[in-house]
Amino acid sequence: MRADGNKGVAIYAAKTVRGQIIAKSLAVCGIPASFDSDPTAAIAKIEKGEAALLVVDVNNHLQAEIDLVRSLAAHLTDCLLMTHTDPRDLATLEALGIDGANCISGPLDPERIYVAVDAFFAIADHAKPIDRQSCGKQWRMSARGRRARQNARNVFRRAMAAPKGGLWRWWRKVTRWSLMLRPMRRLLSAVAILSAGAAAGYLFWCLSTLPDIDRLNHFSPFKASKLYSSDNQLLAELYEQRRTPVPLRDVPQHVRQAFIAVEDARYFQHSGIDPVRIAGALWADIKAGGYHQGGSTITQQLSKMIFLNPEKTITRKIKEMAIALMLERTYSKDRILELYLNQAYFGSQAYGIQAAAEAYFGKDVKQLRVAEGALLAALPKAPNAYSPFRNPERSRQRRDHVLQRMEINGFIPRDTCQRAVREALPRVFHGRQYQSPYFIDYCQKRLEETYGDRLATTGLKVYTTLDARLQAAAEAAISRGMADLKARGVADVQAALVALALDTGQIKAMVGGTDYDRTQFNRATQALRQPGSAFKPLVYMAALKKGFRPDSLIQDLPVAIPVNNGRQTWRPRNYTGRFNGEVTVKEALTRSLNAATVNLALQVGLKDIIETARTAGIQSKLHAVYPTVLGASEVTLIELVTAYGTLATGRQVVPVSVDRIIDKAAAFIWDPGEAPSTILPSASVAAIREMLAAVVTDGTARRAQCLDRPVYGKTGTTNANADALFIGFDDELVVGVWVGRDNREPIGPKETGARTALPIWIDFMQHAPAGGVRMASFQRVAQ
Amino acid sequence: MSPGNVAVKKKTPPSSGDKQHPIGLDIGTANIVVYMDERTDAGVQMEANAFFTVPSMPNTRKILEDKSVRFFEKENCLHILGTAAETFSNILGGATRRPMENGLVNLREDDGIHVIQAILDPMLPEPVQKDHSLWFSVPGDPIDRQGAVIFNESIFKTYLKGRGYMPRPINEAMAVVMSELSDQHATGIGISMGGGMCNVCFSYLSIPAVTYSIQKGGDFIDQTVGRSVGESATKIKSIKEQALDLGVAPRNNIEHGLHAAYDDLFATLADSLAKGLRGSDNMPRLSQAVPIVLSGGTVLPPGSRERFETILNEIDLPIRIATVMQARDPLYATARGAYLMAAADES
Repeated sequence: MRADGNKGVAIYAAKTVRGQIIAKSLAVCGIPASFDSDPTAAIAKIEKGEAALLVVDVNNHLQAEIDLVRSLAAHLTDCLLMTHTDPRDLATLEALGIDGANCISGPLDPERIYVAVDAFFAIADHAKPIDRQSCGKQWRMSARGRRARQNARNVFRRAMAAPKGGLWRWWRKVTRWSLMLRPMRRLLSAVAILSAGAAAGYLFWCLSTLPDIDRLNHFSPFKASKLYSSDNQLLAELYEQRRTPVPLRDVPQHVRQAFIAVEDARYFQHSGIDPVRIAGALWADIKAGGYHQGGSTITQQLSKMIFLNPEKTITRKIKEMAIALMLERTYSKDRILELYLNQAYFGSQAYGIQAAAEAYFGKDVKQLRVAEGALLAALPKAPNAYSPFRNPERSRQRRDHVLQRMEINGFIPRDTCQRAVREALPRVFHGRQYQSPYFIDYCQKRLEETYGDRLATTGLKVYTTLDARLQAAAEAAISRGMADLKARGVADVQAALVALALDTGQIKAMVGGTDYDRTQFNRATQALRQPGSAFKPLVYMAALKKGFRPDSLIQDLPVAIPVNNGRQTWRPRNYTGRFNGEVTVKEALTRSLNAATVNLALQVGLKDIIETARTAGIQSKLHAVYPTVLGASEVTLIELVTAYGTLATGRQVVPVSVDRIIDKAAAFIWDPGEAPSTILPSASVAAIREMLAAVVTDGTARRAQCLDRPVYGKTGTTNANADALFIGFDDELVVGVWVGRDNREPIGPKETGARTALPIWIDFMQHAPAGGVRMASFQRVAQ
Repeated sequence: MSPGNVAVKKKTPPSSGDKQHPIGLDIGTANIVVYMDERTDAGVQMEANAFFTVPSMPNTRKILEDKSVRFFEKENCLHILGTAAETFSNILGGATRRPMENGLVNLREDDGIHVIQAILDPMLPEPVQKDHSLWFSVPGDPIDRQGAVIFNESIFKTYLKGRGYMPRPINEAMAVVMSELSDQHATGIGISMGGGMCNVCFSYLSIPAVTYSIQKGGDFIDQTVGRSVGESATKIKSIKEQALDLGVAPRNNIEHGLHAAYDDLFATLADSLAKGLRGSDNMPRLSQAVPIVLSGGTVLPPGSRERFETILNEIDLPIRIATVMQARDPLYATARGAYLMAAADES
């Protein structure tokens, strides 16, 4: 409180209204001021010490007040403030001895007058009267003086702006325009009370329908199921939401900090909702004229992800905040953060930080660098918009923003931030780990028949029968075979290979085509093609079951068989075009004599042949016509291979793709089924093996002798070389290879089973690891 | 003949008992308003400032007495006073007579002052004590004619002193500021648009820095439009008060005329604001915008405020206008402002 200020200001003005305005202006700002229309009375107040400052307003009456001004200049110069309208009067005033610094020129300006009065008292506080002029000059020039003047202006404006009265006066102002003032006020009051009641009721309803957060204790997010090979190599993940939950301790500190910095910098300070953040977001929304940024904390985002639907409504928002508060009361900050990191969606079907690290960087979350963690933290807000693959520039800006937030919050030093900003974005999406795609498709279809949606959401570990090394050998053999064909001028052909374990039926290798990305059609399991001569062993097996022996004699002579309801006659011919007369059964098979086979079939009967084929594993429709015995009816490759496996062992071979399945609780849940039963007489099996061995030693598959072990098999070539096959086995595996075109055009001249499919088969068998077939054991599910 | 000899049954104003209520008085061209206590409706009285003359006959006199109609008799004429005058005018035909014209005492009416006093007498209570505080409204000087209202003010002052009051004048528009802007440091522009004139006051911290009036008001509108369309001013006034909406397009010739007359009045008023504020030495330089308050019977038609604001926005004023608003009770604002000044005296 200023000492001189208590005494106030005396005012004289030539015009009463002006003097009153000056006095009132000062009074409103807390400076006592009194106006006198008589200058003598005003001066007397100064002389008596009742006022510390005299304000004289001469307006446009300076000439009439010359004597007064001269007298004031002589006696009261250190406590005088002059106001005058015409700036030209300033020279006159100064000539009369008035300090120009104490004059205010121009239209009546209450604000300037107050600032000048305030400055006078500020100087008076610190300087004796005799020094006030020099001190005043210094004070006015100083920064402190400037600040004081600005403060005074602010004080004046606040005093002038503040309306008097309280809430009631405001309320009256609101309702003042209506002529029906009193009833309108009552009506508005009633409406306000009813609205408050309705709002309270609505809030109560929102909070009464909250979900039970205790279920978070049992919360189990969707997990992908994983397929492994028989030698424990991860083949594929099957997921609706690709997710691998990780504990928080496995998430590097800088990764956690990246999320906190960008999503919720005050995460460890608030209790679930952050009023500061909400206010800031609301202000941003108002300035933007619409929804611009959210104010949700990490806890709120988690509650939305787990408990609530994504719709943007007030009800949902209220529930979200209430659940967030409950979560904070129940769980620790670390636990909430852990749940959040494992639940958040990062785009490209990657849920959770681990899946995101694998998808975007092909690495474990523990190995993420600062820039990488920042990129992942950038994604949850808008995974597609900030995807480095779709919008690299925007993604970079967002990542850099995260890094800046980390630096601002003190999580990383400046140089780390600068280094991280220079790092490049990922360019390659490390998407589904997917080896052996045809086999995976085949496996998945069978699993879905049993498990349905659970397959992609419950995190099963499926150990398949596939041998990764054999699979690699199969793919390589196909690839080389195709290259050889291309070298011979044959292009655009497809190939397939299936390898089963003889004793168990387990599928050890499967190739369904040459390019899965171009076409997912599995030619090993889905393509129905004529097997040609590869069907003959089934005919001969039927004959063996009927009592024929390898040395039994049959006729390789022309035969004419009515077909097409007798409208046509079918006359099968041998590949060489010649007939050999009487031959042994073994020789007929070894040399793949069509006429002899048909004659044999006439003796055995179609019915028995078809039944034998069914027993062996052919499920496709076999037409009850004699061309079937030469492979005219279409079958799949896997059926054929299965049948050969049956022929080779005498036991019913059933293709098996899954060895065991373990669920999240580490329990075995796969029933392997019954052990295979013997269905062919051992003598017949021995005989057919003898004959099929002869195909290799003396027949069309002589090339296979290069293998260092006994092998058995049969070539197959269809009319015009449209299909080329070789189905064969050794003591462990039965393998079938098919080559052809999807449009059934001929492969090419001389492209027979022996020339086209057999080399691939041999290639595979050569590179299949010795003893590489694992003998899987069945485990029954514990009762 | 003085009103004191008139056989008139006086209406007893609300009893004040021993309690002295401050009084605000608005003597306007069209109406006289006495404001005594805003807590009750009985604290506000309004009478038309008009009289209607009929020949003096015993039967007529008896009827008027029986119906408690205010009148006085002079020179074989019965002068019916106040709102009843307009009623009789409508019934019997003929125009009412006005004791005031253009906001000032109508010197062409010999009994004008007597009529005003006769109307006021029953409205004002007897003072409880000597020098009972009463503030009454006075118009501002016409913008181009200083000192024209001094006579007006002295007439009423003399009368009220004779009644035992301590009368103090307050500019009509200043009273509007005190009534409507007291919660804003009484800083702003008050405009009272009455029947005879428009009064303007720029008030700064309750100091009337600039005051003036223009000689155009509601009567100007009624007469102008009446002449244009060939109808009586009384009929035009009736249409103006009952059916006019300046916010919608005019539907007939009379409304067209009224719209045009209002635009002319508002334009004149806006121009006068610019001239009056710019030409005054008392006008302070302001950093903040100030409100304008409109009051008076002339701004009662819906859309008046908006229409004036639109016209004002086209004028370059030396100050910034925060808002243009209408008084809560446009007919009572002047009297209420005078009442508040009297109440401040009492406290």
